[in-house]
Amino acid sequence: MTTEGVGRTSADAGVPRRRARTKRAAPTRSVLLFTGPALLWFVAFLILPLIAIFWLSTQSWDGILDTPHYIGLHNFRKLVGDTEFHAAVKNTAIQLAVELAIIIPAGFCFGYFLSLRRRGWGALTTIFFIPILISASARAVIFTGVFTSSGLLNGLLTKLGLISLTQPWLANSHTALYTVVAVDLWAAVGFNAVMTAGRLSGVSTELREAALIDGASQWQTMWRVYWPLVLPFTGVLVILHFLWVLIQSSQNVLLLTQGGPGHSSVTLGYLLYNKAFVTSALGYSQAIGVVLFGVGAIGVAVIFRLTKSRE
Amino acid sequence: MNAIKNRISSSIVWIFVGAYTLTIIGPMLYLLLSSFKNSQQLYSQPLAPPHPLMASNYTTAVHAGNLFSGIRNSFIVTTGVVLLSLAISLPAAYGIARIPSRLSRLLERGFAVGLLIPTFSILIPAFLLAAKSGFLGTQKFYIVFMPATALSFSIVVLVQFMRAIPMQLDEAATIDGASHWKIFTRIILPLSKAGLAVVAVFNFVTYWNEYLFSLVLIGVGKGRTVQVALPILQGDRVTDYGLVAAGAVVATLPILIVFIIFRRRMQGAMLSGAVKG
Repeated sequence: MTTEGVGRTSADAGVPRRRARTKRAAPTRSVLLFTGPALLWFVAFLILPLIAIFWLSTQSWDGILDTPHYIGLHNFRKLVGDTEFHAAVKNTAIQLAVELAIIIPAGFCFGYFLSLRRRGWGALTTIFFIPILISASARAVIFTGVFTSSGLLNGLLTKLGLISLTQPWLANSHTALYTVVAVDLWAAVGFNAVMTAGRLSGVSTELREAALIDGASQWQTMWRVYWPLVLPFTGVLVILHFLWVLIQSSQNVLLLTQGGPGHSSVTLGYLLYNKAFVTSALGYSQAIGVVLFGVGAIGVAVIFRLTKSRE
Repeated sequence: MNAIKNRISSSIVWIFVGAYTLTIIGPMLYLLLSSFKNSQQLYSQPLAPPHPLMASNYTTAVHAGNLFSGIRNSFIVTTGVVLLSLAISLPAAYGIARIPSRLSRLLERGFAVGLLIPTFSILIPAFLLAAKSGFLGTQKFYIVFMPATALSFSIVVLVQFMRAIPMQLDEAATIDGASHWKIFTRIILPLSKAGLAVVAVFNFVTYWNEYLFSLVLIGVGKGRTVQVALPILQGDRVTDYGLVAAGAVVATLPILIVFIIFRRRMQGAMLSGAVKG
């Protein structure tokens, strides 16, 4: 590389070349001065911790007072035989499938609806946006009230004469995971709708008018004209929600069901937390972290591919 | 024919939209109503309006959960993180948006990729770092560490605002002999107030609501934030939902106030962050 550069410099007229180079060096130094602190924080507190996950996953480290030592891939071998891990994989797969299957069409349809700016769209936009502002702790309080035995949902079912359906939703191993799904969707559908509406407002309305004049129905216009148009943007929203479900929604599990009853609502993210702070298996928990990293990276790549702009 | 079809599909959509709207409002309304009821009312008539109205839940919740101290702690910690994030990301955004070079383009892409790193994934490394450096259980470590998780979003949004400022301003200033630092502090910063507000408000909401890192890094001691105090109150008073509901309302009020003031800006911020990501 270097010799090639030198060779070219001597072949070209030397002086303007050198001036061009000093001019180019100056912005680099200024950029570094201004972005230095950000780079430092980014690398020290985000990238290095992320890399540390891989190192930790090869350690046996049982509790903060223990001395870590290298055990190679033993943590991963242990994962393969861990029935709790199997339950977590299954639950996470269900959670992802159900949530993505609902959020993609619902977010887009509601977003399209908002973008039509029918009467009341302003108020609807605000309402759709509110759940995302409510903290995980407060959400857990709200939904404990909804799903508890004497709570809102059972109260409504009783009123509707469906008393046979009433049950302790959080304490039933068939429904516990779905309470977590419900809490995730409660906030995410509205958020995706508002975002999609925002994106659609940047698209000209002439397209819609033209399609409608050509005899297309509103439904056809929505799916045939606007869906392909905003697909890359929808892809971004799907990626964000995918990562949210995979990793961040573990706090909902922690606050609502703590993985129970049994292992019925244990997810991968929650299992990571549980292994680290309940059973103090720090190295083992980070083996799950590596699995999550892998699944996350593959998932993001796949969604990105599927939703890439077709041009 | 199409008119009828449109009407039918539009009413179907209305039904779904209406159902979802009720699903959002219902639980929140239930929380609010419950916060004014005693346990007996809650148990016998979960759906009825509170009668008599029990404001005492609020005073008891604030007292039992030590919520005012939690709110004070949340305020200190959140303000610290917001200010430090701005101090780091404003110059970085200037460097990326106003000094065109290969490095700045590379950095812009790097920080944008950072948007994809979910904060939760580095919880255990952060915990170990805090423990090994002797700062576990302090607000200091949290305030210094957490801006790292806010940088990507802050920089991406600020860069967009700074790009919208005409380049001629910088060129004119450069001809007059102004340094980058002077251009940044005298010209770009004053013109980026809107972007600064968006980022500050968004980060305020994010870190006010943040739960897991507060729990693990600051803990449940004296310095605990209101988001950590609330689940503790819930655990202590499992049977007294009205009381816990009142606590949840108290913990959420500051954010609702912020939202009412900055509604449009916040929606804009989310959108610009998502578009770039």
